[in-house]
Amino acid sequence: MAQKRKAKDAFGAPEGVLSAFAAARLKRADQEAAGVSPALAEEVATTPYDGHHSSPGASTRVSRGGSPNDAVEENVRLPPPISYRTNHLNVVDDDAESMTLLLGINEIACIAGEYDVTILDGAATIYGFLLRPESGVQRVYAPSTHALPVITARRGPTKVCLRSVKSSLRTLERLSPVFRNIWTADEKERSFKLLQTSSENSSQRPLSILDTDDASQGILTQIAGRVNERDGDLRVITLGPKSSGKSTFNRQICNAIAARTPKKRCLYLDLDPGQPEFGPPGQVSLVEVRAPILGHAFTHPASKKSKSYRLLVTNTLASTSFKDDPEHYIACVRDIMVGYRARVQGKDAQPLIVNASGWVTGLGATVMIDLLDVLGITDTVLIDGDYPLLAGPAREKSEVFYKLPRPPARPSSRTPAELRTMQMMSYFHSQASSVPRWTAKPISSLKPWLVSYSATNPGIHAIVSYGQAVPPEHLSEILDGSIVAIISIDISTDTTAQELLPMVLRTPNGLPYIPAPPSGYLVPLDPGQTTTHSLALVRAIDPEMQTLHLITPLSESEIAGLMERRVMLVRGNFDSPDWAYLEDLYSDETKDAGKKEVAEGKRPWVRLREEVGVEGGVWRVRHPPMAGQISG
Amino acid sequence: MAKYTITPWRHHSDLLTVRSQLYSPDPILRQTAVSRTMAWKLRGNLPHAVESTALLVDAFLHHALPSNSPFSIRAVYSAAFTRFVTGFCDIGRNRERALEPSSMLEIARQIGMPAEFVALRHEATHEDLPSVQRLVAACEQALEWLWDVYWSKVDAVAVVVAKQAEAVDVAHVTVEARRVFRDFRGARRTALKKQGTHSQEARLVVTEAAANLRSLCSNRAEATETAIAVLVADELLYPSERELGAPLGGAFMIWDDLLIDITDKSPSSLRVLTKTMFNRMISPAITRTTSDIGSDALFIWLAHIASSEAVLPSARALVVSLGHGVAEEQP
Repeated sequence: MAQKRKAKDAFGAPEGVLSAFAAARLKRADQEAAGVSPALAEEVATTPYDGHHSSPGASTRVSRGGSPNDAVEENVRLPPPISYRTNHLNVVDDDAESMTLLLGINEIACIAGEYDVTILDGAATIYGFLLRPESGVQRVYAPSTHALPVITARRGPTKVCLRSVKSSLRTLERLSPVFRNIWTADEKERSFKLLQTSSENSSQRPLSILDTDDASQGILTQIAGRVNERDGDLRVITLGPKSSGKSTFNRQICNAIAARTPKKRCLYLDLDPGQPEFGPPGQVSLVEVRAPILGHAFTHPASKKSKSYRLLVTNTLASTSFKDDPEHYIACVRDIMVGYRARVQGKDAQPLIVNASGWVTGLGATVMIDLLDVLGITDTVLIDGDYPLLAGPAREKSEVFYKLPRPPARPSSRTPAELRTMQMMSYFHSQASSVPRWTAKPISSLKPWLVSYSATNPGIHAIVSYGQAVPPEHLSEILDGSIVAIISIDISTDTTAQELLPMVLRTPNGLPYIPAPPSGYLVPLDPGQTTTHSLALVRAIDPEMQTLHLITPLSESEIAGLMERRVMLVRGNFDSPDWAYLEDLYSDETKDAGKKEVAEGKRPWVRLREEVGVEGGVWRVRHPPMAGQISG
Repeated sequence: MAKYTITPWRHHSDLLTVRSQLYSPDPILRQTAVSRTMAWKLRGNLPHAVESTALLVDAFLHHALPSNSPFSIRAVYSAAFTRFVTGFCDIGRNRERALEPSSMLEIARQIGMPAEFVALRHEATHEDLPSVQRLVAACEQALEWLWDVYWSKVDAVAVVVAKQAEAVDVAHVTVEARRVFRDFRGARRTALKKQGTHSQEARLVVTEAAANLRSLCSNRAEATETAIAVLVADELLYPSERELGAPLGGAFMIWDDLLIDITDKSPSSLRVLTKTMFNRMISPAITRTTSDIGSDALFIWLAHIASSEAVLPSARALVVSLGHGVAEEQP
């Protein structure tokens, strides 16, 4: 008689997977009886132990060791979601593209999303910037990753016009989940949404409101006043622990100066390599600010060509923290200050706003105290907190100091590592132009700069490693797909070049590198003799043609200019550009093909995380509830 | 939503190479692997188990050099061991997210790490450095434990992932192939009726369908088998209202060109097609009420294939031999 065929046999069901799981589950049942979870052991074994991979819960625990990864102080309780009622909001005009509001004096409007704002009548402040009809059109970015700025009418009645925009920044959401679900649209498909209460937001994101309270406003007015008195000769720094609102307040200082002083511009010294305001992580820079700052860092990268935020000088640390080489960090800052002083001779004085890192204890404090002398600070804003080691000297060294209470902790929907990713992506995807523009083409489809490293006609003279030295036989493996900084020395000052460049050696693959001395550690190049140009991603190394394929936001003319100098690449402790490897896998057009490639093991450095499945689920259910679920 | 992880090694085979080198008896290979792992560490995303193994192996290599002082030998063993234990417990505690963070011993118990490891780490940190023989024994035990917990599972991961990729594909291929065949049948019928057998339009329908199938299966044997199985199982090769014994001239006109195209590009598919037809012919599924009619039709198809020597050389021999094979399988 004919045998019965099962559908499985005819169609080739994946029975291998099922039975493997089933067998494993049986084995696990025994172990779980003993309270042991091998799935947990395996999960732990595969996690990197490098301080970047802790779960969100960990950051609220006690950790006051003065390490740069410390979060907010102990036991900070998050406030209940803010319910902010805006009274008598008068919507005067409401069409497909724009909305006009009429606000009485001191009334506020809170808007999420991105929009262009114009004042038709009266005056209002946003982010500390005074808007008037003469201010023209200003672009505001208010993603849900951070507190939303409010528009406060300073004169009544004030007519505010909001216009929907389609910025190219939004298109980055095609390339990574970190950029998703942070913008908004209202019922008319405009790019912004007028919020009246925090709970009105449909997608349940934790939103909070940024408003300039009276204490802050008072300090801003005083600082602007002193700038006018001293004719621009003012250097102000804001100090405080991590996440205490330093960068937000610095933005407001810039905006207050832009609005209330005749020259309307200031210089911004970005000293926090982990969370810079105007550039990618890993460097310190000086930026000329000529327009108000109306959004978070990733919405306004600075460049040499930008009209609003012009990059003047930058020095790379090749690391997101200065903890491994504080001397080099101080040397970089010193070099920038030399440039600053040359710039502001005589009548051209411009106020300097300094953005410090939130590391106010331990080594961070010691380094900052040294820097205060280098910077010549005149005004210091101290945010409330427990850091006597730094607060004392800071008060003494400056002419005036102000005290600012600490704002309530705001939950951010992005971790610091995710924010650094957003900043890097914003940097690499920005196109050099006078107004900010971004391209949503994945990195893999951008045209790389092919530069030779051969001895006969080098475009790149050497690869330098800051920080931990690398055995030359592995340099190629480490460099491939990683981020480097492009620096150069001026060839015309020949003697300096000769002194500066010790002998360049070649790795087995032919890559030129500067070897570390027997100490195992190379002293970084003097920032006074080198110029940092930009970052680059090493897309490929071609040993046959002896060329490197680099992706960089530099324009073609800037690259051409580089070739007249002696160019080197600096590698160090930049964050691994995981986002770049994954762009294709998130972009709609290529994600299916990409996933197939990963499953077949054809995509370098990427693999699919195996389904932990039931085992993982069971283990989590068994655990006691998370701290956040227990009230009181 | 697929979840991806980034590894510092380019290909999975690199990890397997390092595994065999770290656990090999040859010190030169071990040194190479340690050096490479430390380079991976600089890239970031290095799993703690890999780092721990390399540090422990490095401690053994350090011990083997007579020029190193006894203190430094104990110190290197202690440092490697301490980092290994502390790392596992810290990461385990982070995963926990409980109200009261558990002690290291408790975490160790949950992940199956021997309690003596935690005790030795405590001693090395807070008391005298343990003696070298204790450290050697503990580090050897640690390497074995790491093998059990991580390295032995590294192949399995690759296999599971590959299987998952295939598993997903089969369902997808079935659905897509069904769609392609049905669309083809409809379009071809219309073209043949309107323009005739050798018209360009009719030919175009064939080319398009063949291209679709090719991109769907992309040269993978299992995918091709699945598609052919759909063709046969869905009874697409003969009209649904057919009478027993009726000729299949129309069906041949519809399907011949496509089948020739497929088997031409992929020789094994002819074998698969024939075998599938045979199997279906002789073992109808329970639900089918028209089993005889279907089997009858398939029989005629097989005869048709066997007699197509002109376009499909060796088809006859294939059909005959497969037929014999199938007959032999029957009880």
